[in-house]
Amino acid sequence: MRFLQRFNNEQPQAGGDGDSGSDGLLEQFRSQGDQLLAAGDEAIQRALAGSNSEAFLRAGRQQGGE
Amino acid sequence: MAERLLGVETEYAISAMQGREAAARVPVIRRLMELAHATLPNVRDGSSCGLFMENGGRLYLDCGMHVEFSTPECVNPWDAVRYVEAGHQTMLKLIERFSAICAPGLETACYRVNVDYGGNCATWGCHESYQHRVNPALLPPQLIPHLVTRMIYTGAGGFDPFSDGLKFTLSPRAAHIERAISSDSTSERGIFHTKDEPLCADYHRLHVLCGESLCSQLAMFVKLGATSLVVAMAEAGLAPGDQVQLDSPLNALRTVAGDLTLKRQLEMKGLARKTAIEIQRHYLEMAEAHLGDDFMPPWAPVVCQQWRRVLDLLDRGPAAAAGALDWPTKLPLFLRHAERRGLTWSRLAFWNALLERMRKAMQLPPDGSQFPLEHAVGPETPIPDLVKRINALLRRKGFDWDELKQALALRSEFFEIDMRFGQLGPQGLFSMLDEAGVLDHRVSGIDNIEHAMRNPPATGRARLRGAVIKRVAGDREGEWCCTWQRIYSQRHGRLLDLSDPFAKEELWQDQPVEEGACVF
Repeated sequence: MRFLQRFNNEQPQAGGDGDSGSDGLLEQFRSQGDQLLAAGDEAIQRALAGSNSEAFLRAGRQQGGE
Repeated sequence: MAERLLGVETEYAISAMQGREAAARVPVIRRLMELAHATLPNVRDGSSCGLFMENGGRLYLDCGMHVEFSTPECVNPWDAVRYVEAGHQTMLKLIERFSAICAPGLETACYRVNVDYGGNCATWGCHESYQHRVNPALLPPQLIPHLVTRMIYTGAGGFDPFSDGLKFTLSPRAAHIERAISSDSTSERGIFHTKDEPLCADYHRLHVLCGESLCSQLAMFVKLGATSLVVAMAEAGLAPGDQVQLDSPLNALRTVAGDLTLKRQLEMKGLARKTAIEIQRHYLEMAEAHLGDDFMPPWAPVVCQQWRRVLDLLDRGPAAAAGALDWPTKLPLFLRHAERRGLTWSRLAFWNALLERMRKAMQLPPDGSQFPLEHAVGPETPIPDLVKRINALLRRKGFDWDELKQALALRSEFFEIDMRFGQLGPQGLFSMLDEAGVLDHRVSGIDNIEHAMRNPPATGRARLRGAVIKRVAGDREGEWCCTWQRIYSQRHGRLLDLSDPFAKEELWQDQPVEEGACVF
């Protein structure tokens, strides 16, 4: 199993793979103030309302590019 | 004090939806370009089907049917960001005009986004150009450590488009960078792009393609300002990169892209190891030490001030830069959305690694195609030994495959959020946050965007180009066309040479040309 533990240790996304609920990282952002999170919540809900994410991504799909 | 020209190219993503389904995109893009020709005062682009605008910038279709706006040549980072924003507003107006005349129910939108999560593994570029006079062969070692580590403030944030899971990265575009140095721009892209197409006399042009489209004015301003100063220091012979040579620039790029703590140390040539912030401070301190030198542009002190402010913020952790820079603003939105959707963010890294391991065991290339999870863990699995070991690990940890399946089911939603973050107009997430007053990204002096849509910068050849275009745009019979270096009327046999980037006056030449001949 070492390979998985190794991969996991190499991914400093947040507080490891424990099941301690949502992360210290989110708490750090909360400590800076909840306004951004609250506004973000509201904005995301408005943006995603009635959206079909798969179709949305297909609609923007492109070829090539620099 | 020395003037230095810089500019930005932005490739836009365009989407078309009919109700809840994707609609054909290419006809929309063609119509948008037709509208641009018909409604914007312009002169035809002599080297493509695009156009030059009265603000001196260029709007055209690039490879992959990308609508692209190039700012006019600017002499400071305030103007460069101002004209980037003017390009956004121009695109938004075109979309609005199109929406007013298109088929009922067809919804189109335009995005400043960097990678395509739609499965094609393509990318939209946001390139920077910096004028210089140094031997181009000397630049890579001076620039590469800067280009790798500036990502801590120039990263747009988002997800690794080649990951099977949900892998947040400071820079989605970084996944498309495959070389330290390369001359290619559509594949095998390099951290340092060796293209040197000056588009003027007596100078070189550094073309940077590893950067990203950003929403934060502060991030754009420091990206352009700091990189200009590094180029200036290299040109002055200060060798700003000599003391911070990375052992493996590509490995360092991957490390910085995946390090949300900003504390990972990068392997340097020699014994030293440094964090990205420390390497950025090295460049900053050198710039500050030379602020009074003749080679420095007059705006260098303000750029250094903002550069230092950004690094100080990041030194306190990404949360301190939330609302000011792109990726530290996006990250909490994703964290919060994961929480709302019942996903444990901290375990995504585990699942990402597991998916990566299974793909490798199945000898499937990491090409962005959807990983066949059901097949991989089902009764006909081609990797039974590995799955057995993984199952044992999951039991010990108390994890369940359903958690991974739930995360994968939500991938498209997270990708949509990322794309909508940079959507132009009031429906874009960044715009909504800005409107709500929760951001702190604006830079004093970046204003008059409306004015910049119709008027060129006050200095350099862009001023002349814009003034001429404003004058002749209505003269359709004059058969005017334009490139970065010339404006020409076939009918009138008149040519304005703009190969001097700092040209101050219009010096027209009579140059009769036979029908069909090309003067460019």
